[in-house]
Amino acid sequence: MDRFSRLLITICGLGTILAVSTVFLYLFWVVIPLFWSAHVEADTPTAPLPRLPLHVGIDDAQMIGWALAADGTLEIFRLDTGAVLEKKQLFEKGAPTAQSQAINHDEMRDGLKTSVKQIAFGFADGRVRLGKFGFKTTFLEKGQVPPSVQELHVGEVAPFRSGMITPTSQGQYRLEEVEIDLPAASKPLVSSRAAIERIDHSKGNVGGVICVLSADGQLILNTVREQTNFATGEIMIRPLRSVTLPYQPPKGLGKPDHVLLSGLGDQVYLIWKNGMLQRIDARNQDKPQLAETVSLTENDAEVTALRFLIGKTTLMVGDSHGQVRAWFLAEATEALSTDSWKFVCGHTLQGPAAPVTALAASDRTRLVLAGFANGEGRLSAVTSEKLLATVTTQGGVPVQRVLLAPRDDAILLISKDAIARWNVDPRHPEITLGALFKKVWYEGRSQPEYVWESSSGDDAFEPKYSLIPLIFGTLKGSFYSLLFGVPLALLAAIYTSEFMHPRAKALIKPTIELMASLPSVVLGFLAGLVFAQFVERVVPTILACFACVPFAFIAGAYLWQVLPEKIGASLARWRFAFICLVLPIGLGGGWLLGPVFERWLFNGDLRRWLDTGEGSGFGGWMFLLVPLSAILVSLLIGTRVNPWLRRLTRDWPRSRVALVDLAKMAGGMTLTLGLAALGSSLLSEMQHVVDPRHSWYMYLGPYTQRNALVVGFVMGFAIIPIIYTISEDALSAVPSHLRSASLAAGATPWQTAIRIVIPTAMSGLFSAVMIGLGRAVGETMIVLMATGNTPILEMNIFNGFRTLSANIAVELPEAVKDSTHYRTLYLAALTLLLATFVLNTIAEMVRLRFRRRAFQL
Amino acid sequence: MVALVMIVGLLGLIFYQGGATFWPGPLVEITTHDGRTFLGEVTRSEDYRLDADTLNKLPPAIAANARALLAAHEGQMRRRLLRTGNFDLTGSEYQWVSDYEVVRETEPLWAVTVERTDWGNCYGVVQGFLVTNELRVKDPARAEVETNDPGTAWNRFQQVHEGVRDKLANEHYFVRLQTRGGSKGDKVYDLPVEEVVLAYPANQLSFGGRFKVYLTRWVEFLTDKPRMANTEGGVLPAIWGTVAMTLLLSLLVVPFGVLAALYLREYARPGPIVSAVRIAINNLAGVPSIVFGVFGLGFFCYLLGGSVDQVFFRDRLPSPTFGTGGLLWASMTLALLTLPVVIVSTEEALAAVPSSMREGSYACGASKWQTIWRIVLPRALPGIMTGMILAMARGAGEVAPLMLVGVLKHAPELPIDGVFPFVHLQRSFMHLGFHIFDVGFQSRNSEAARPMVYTTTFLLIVIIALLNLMAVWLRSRLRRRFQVSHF
Repeated sequence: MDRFSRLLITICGLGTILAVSTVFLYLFWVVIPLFWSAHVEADTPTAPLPRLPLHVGIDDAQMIGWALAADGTLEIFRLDTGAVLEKKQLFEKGAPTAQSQAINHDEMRDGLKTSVKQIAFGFADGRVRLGKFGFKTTFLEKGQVPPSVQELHVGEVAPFRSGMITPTSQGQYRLEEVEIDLPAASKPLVSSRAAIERIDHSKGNVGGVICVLSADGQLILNTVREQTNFATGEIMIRPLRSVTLPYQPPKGLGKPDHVLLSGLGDQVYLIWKNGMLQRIDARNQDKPQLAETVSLTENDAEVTALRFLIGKTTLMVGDSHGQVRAWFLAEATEALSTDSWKFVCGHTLQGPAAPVTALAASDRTRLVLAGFANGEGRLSAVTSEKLLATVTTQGGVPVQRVLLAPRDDAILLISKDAIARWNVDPRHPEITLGALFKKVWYEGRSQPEYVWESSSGDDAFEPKYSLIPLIFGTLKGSFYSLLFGVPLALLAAIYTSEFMHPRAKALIKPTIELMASLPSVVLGFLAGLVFAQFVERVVPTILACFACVPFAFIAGAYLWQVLPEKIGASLARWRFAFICLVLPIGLGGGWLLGPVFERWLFNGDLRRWLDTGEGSGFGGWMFLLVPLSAILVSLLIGTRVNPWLRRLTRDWPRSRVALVDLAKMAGGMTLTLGLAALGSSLLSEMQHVVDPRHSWYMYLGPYTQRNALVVGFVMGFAIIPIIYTISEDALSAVPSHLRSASLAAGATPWQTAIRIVIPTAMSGLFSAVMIGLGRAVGETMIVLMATGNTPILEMNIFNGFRTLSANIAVELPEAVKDSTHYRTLYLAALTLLLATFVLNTIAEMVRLRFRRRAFQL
Repeated sequence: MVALVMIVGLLGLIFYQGGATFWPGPLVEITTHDGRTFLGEVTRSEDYRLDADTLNKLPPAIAANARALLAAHEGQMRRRLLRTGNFDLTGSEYQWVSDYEVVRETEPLWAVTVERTDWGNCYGVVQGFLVTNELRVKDPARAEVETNDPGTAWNRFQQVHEGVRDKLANEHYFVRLQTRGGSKGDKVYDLPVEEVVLAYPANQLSFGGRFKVYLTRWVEFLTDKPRMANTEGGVLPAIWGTVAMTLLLSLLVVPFGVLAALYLREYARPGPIVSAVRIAINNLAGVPSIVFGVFGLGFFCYLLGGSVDQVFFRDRLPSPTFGTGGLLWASMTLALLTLPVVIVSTEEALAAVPSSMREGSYACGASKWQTIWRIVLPRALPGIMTGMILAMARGAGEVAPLMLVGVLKHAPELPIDGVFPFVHLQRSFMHLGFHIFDVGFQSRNSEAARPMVYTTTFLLIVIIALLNLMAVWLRSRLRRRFQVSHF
């Protein structure tokens, strides 16, 4: 029994270590895969395609594929061997003269959303056809397939009908067939019926947009609509409107090698081999204009491959030096182009020193696969610039075409020797340390930024996982709550331990400790629904109270000294009551002065002053400078005036000294205000340089109801008990013989507290603040309920923020297990854990050191 | 000082608001100068600044009145928030009425406040009593009007109301009410008696009558299920969930915490291991609660729960049984969170047992375990209890981790009920703290929900305060006992 209990107890004791380390390790374990690169597994290469295709597509289950050559020959092949199942010429009346890039097009078929690739073909007579290339998936029961198929095992495939079939684990048979939809040709889109040499198309806002460049040099943008002919049932493209675009090839260059259209069909890009790009802005179809000319490559590199990412906003450009760059339109900060946009290179993906030969973009995410002339294929995430996988063809045979499987789960490199296939799991392509903690240039933004934006309904939406706004929010919330909570808690601790009657202390201390057991959800509710509304109405008053309450206390203290000694002594026991009285006086002063403040400093209406930025920044600077100059003045008085005064008034009676002190205080106050006003007016004169309301790092700005001020109040309230308790303990632990010695040497209790007790207990107070900070950093419910939870980077005390903890609470319930979002939230939790771990450990070490020292004294 | 004032003020606010929510106020009928009439309960009033534009646009007589009011009130105008109810009829639940707008203000004798099963409160003046065989009065002409006298109608209503909710009758009873819709116009509304939860003629009640209504509403609040997306009705499931979770939590945390404290106090020798344990405990105390929630979700729900599902509930996959948030995982998460509380207070209690008693026990030949079991633990029991209660108080008030590991805004099934095996550890549950968050911040109409939030807050604070007071009381008992046994 004894042995057993010892064992059990020891296990439980050590269990605490186990619990803590499990928390740590588990979080690490979830987070670590974020930083892994893709998992790649080589499959056996198959026979090559007989001819080099322009477009290739494969099905979701990776059984069957189609390849379309430049002359319009379509080959359907099985993916496991590369053998061609079927070969046909799509266009009987002659091969197309131009083919566009393929775009993804979602269609509803039998109630299921299926994705097809849409390609536009241009012909010699100026006509255009739109082809849709997709797959049809059918699930067959056992009775519907011949015995030869029934003999297949799961994972085996066989040709069946026109496609490939495989048994599923549920006992059904999955049949994949290529399905091609090729409506009839349109009327000629080119007025001269000249041959179409370049073509591209986009979905646009209505129907579709097709841009063609004809042999006679016309560049025409057509808005088209597909129409069913009721008589024949044929689907035909009908042009609704066509616009001739201004097209002037630069000197010395021929026709552009590529004509590309943006996703909405409102930007046309003409690209030459040497990297020259002309952008034609066609947003206003009545007045299309050449917007800008940029060079896509550096050091005389040639453009060798082009591909749009999903959404057709970002253009990936591969060059002959092996670099792949991502270009997109961004709002211009300075006018470089004729419209307010400019085409910028946001990301560069480094490659080997071999030309890029082919590019493929994912149908679902922002992955890009680049093939190189040295046989390499590189899978990268564009936004994070993370290289996920590098694969090489056997013998380094140059890659001719590359392909990413529809589900991003395989990559294909097509060379003249073979089709090489690798199964990949890209894991978490969006995440790198840089993406989490550095500025990232997201598509369409004017500059690199820190953004947290985890979800949206849009398919082409790119999640943005920068932890910086959240960390900033956490620090902002903690800063304002410490600003409010720490002085209160420390002063309360000093007062109770040094000046308060022990009996009152016995009552006060548990009450403040009781505050700690107030659930934070209650505080949050009060903050969000009650406080926020109240504060909104009385902002100027509160600002005035910041000035009035401390003033009232200081003035009260000096006035107390003025009292004749006898009366003072007889009233001493009521001192606490008097102190209690000072608070309402201060608050009342704030109440009275609030409107006055508003009129003088803030142009009559604080909210308007903040929101519109009218009036001068004078009041804002006062807000900051009064405390600063108060510190300055008190330092000045302490070092310069006090010694002199002390010498002068050494022999004066007490009452006169008190009067002099009062005058000193009044003088100090005046000086403080004067200094602050002077500084403020100087600074606000320079308001074009700095206005406290206009920059993100400034502490003032437009007012929102749930803001940092409210959180500061309420979270300050939440951390007061813990700071108070620990610092009170630290102060009480200062040995009393130190106090006695100081008092015996003639120091007043105030001098004893300031000069002896506080310096001794300093490290204890410091650790109290550290632990308070740790509490503020992790607080969830208050910030969740009392801020707007917008992840913004602004110091402004009058708007909200989003903390790491609140972010976890909001988003984790909706995050899919093991997704990037889920793991990133775990990373946020781990960050919190490490931060509090560091804070607590520092606090604990300081506290232990203090304890040792206090015992030695 | 300020802190003290703050806490007192705060508790005062909650107690006042929470306590006053259910007090039935009188119903006022206000007619405004533009001919709108409102009937409702005054919820609160505030002063505001009337801007000059509005004032100038008023008809002269009203403007003069407004100016007089402004002059009397130092430039401030008072306005009152009326709870007008009848959301189904008017589409709004509340209405601000400024003093200057009022032309006539009465308290109608037969105005009644009706709590309904749907659509929130209904306010109206009783006009009569109807019987039909339809569920709704579609054609008033076909309905049989029993009486047009308010008093008689009210008596009939009270006779019928008791039994009507259980009865499957062909006859349906209705109280005919004159409702006031403000700008939406006044309507005569036939209120089906079976929809009524509670009704009282607010302006006729004596103090005793009001008190009775007040108590009835409290009882309803404590024993009923929530209605109207949690903004009406009771909080029984939330109380039940909180209690069940807290009990389970203490069952989990106390043995572990006590044994760990015993290890630290009685068994371990000072050294790196003990300091490692202390560091661990300190950090456990300092880790933000949300991190425990994250850990609980991943480790308990997904990893442990997922494995349990794999082994025991294979047939129900892929829908999870234990592999999602639930009572057990929530309790375990909070047990981890409250572990330091138990360890620290148990340690204190163990330290308070004088070593002379231990030595006495050893001298009599008892083994270490016997000494601990028979001598040390009984003396330390109040301290351990204190720790347990403090842990329960902490656990009952935590919300953030629970949001991740099993609390739902509406869980129809209680975690403990009469169905075998009576305690359903895998079920999600409702929680008072989360109820506050949900009702206050996620509901359709936060103004309408506010009384409910106050009352729930009040309840939560009372529970936690009771637990804390119990701990204080136990601690003082421990001290007394310690003084007695110190010889």
